[in-house]
Amino acid sequence: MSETPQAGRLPVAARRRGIRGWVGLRGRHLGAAAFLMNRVSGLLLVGYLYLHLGVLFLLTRGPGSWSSVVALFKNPYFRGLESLLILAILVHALNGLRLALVGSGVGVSHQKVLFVAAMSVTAVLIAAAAIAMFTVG
Amino acid sequence: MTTHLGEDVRQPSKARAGHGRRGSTAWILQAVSGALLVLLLGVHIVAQHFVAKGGLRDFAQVVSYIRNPFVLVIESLFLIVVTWHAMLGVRAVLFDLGFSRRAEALITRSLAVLGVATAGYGFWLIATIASKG
Repeated sequence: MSETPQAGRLPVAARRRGIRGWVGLRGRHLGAAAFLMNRVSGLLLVGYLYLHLGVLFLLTRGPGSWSSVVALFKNPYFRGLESLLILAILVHALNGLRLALVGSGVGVSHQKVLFVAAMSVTAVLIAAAAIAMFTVG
Repeated sequence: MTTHLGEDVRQPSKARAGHGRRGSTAWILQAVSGALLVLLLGVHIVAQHFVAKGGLRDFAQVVSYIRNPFVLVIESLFLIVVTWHAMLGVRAVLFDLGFSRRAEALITRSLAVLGVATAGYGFWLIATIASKG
């Protein structure tokens, strides 16, 4: 395939294979995992955006509606789900920053180090966020 | 440029003939909005969940918070940037499915409409909540 693929997009051959192309053509490289992580976390976050906007509608219904949902948010299971949400945000944000840097020509030869650094910072931040969430209130 | 990571990270300006310029603009907008989001989302999460006592604001606190002019500007900017970034991201994912150029144009227009509707709903929410005080 002589055609050059674009940043954040799949090569044409992979696009023709649909979602299977997300992993198939890129084989077992670390970059395949990084690409897949960004796609999956991004789609999850788009879904959450609409869920969040839907929940915020309760604020327009007055204090009673909001109090009931706040009580639900304080449930430990819900806090566990919120930790997963923050994990998705961190993975998407830090891996995305790495992609933007490398795509701009910064640190191209150090991609692997940047990826490991991004995921290490993600691990530290999610641990700190989870501790803060489960120890507050 | 394909690297040892096996991940292609080239800016799309030199890519697919006919799609290069549009793809390049979309890539730059996605990267810039993503960088802005790191700041805005950071402020949003910390202010909403880590500064508030108990991790969550009650109704009166939310209304008071959103009526602060600085917060109003930051949250409005956050709404625009997050919607923009989300629509561009969904567009990129859908384009991966290998549609025709005509279908791609329809996807772009549909997502533009969805983005405007989403931001419009978000602004209505902000205005309605702020008016509760």
